[in-house]
Amino acid sequence: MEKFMENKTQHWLVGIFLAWRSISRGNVGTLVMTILMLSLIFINLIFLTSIINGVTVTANKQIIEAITGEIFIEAKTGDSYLTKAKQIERDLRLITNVQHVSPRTGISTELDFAGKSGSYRGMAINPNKEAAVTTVAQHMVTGRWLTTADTNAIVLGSQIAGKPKGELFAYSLKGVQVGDIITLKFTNGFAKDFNVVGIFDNDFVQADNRFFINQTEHDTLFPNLKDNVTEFGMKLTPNANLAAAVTAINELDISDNVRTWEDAAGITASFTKSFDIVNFIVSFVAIIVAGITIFIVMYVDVINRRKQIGILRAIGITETAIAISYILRAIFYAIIGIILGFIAFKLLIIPLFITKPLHLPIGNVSLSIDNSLLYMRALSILVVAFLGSYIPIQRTLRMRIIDAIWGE
Amino acid sequence: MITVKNLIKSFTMGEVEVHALRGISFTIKDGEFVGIMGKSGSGKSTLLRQLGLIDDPTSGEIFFDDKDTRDLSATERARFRLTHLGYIFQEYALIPELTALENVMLPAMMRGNKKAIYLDKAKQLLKVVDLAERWHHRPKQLSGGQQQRVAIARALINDPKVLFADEPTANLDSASTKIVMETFSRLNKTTKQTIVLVTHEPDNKAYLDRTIIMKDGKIYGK
Repeated sequence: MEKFMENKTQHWLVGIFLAWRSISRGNVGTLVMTILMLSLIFINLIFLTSIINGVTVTANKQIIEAITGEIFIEAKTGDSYLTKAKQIERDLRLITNVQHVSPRTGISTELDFAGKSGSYRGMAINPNKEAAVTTVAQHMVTGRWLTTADTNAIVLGSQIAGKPKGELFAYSLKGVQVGDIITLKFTNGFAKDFNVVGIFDNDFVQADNRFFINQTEHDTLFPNLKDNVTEFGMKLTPNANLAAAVTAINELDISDNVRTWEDAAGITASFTKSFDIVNFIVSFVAIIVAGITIFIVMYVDVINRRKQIGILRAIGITETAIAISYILRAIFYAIIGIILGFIAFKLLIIPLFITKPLHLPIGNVSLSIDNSLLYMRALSILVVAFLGSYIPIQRTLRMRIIDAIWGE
Repeated sequence: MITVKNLIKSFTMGEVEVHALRGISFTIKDGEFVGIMGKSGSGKSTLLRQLGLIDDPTSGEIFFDDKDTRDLSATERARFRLTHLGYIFQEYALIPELTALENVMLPAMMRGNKKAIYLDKAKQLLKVVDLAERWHHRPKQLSGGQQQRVAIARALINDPKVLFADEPTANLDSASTKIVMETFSRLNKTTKQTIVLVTHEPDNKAYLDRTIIMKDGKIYGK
């Protein structure tokens, strides 16, 4: 008796033996359906999360690449402009991890074209510097990006030019083409014709509802504002510490409005935050549903094998060994289900969304999920598989042997 | 030796209290082949379940030699069943996912015997029950009689002090019944295996050393 009590490995050996025989020689249809169910539960757990993450990742990427850069500096509170722009730019470039700086001057104008007009916001920029900070220059759908030598040249966002089926088509100039002449009417009453040299489309409404002209052009039009800008956009070296760069910039005392791209996210940040709540609720519900589903499958299985469990106990197989066999079987199903679900997700679903991404106003969204989140979802499946098998087997093992074998 | 003193088993079925065993006392000596007979509902299977320690009596004592089974905890009872008792069910009760050999060796594996030893012994026992060639077959590939003989081999794997069989031939045809009963008889005669067998078939009496007749939860005759 004492020897038996000490030899706990026998519980595991018998439990593993029974589990493996049950898996390898049990009903193939049940095995396949159970694993398939667990795969689908896993995919269900990560799918919506991946879409929401994809939306967040795309929105963040668009904010950084198409609008602000990673850090942007606006004029001091109460001021319209940052003065001595060239000196500030030089100082900024000396900060560790600052890779590129683009001075920008915001312009609000009315644009007239072929009897149609509208008020739009644009930027006077140095084309080369802006192209180094944002990727707008890489998203020209017709024509070309500005050059520093351009005069009277303008590039328009597709939402201004009139993107067919665009979100803001009703408010656009409806059909501006490269080569067309449009008139800019500034708030001071000054008006000037500009030649449209290019139209860009970032698939991001906030970015594509702007226009760009050359900073030198702006300096000519408003000589009193020379060496003044409304903001600086900045790009950092890859993997640079954002907070450290902000601290360094603040030490220059340029402005009290040093912001990161996250501050600029605005509406995007608001809806991604809302999505986080939706994501949490949906994931929580999905895990509960997964737990109940696994519990039901395991419970039905244990009930169907109640007599066999009673017989095993009657011939001296320990309750621990029996419990181990059922729990290991459930964990095995869960692991295979997770692996197959992961493979299907990586090799089928993600490529499908890369080929056919979701077209949203923030851009083309495909699936995205962090490995840590993936592991957490996998772990949650394993936990519910454990509980889903542990609870019913413990309930059955608490029954008297004669009830398990001969009971109703 | 098994000593039973004033064994009582009562339980409630619906709203009716059933007195399945009404104060039974007897002894079974080592090496005996004893049959428990009686009509359906006489309490013979209930008695066997108490003796096999798979059910708890309401009161009374069961001794295996000097061991009072009332002193055993649930874990100790499980261990006692594994090491001292063999139990054969009417409906064979083999594990469908295991081969004949695996079904037989399972209790020895649980006991912690060395693999080579229990594999060899399981094969020997399958030979004893004339199923040496069928060791790799699974229960569904065996006839009822063959399955019952696998169950006998399984019950013998840990050298039980007593072998209990609950109507082991009830589901078998006469040819299979004869083979199973001859197997029991041979075991009893060659190895002095103590066997307690519940049966309601009068033909089986020929194999038994003696019979305990039960009626209405009491011993009616011996």
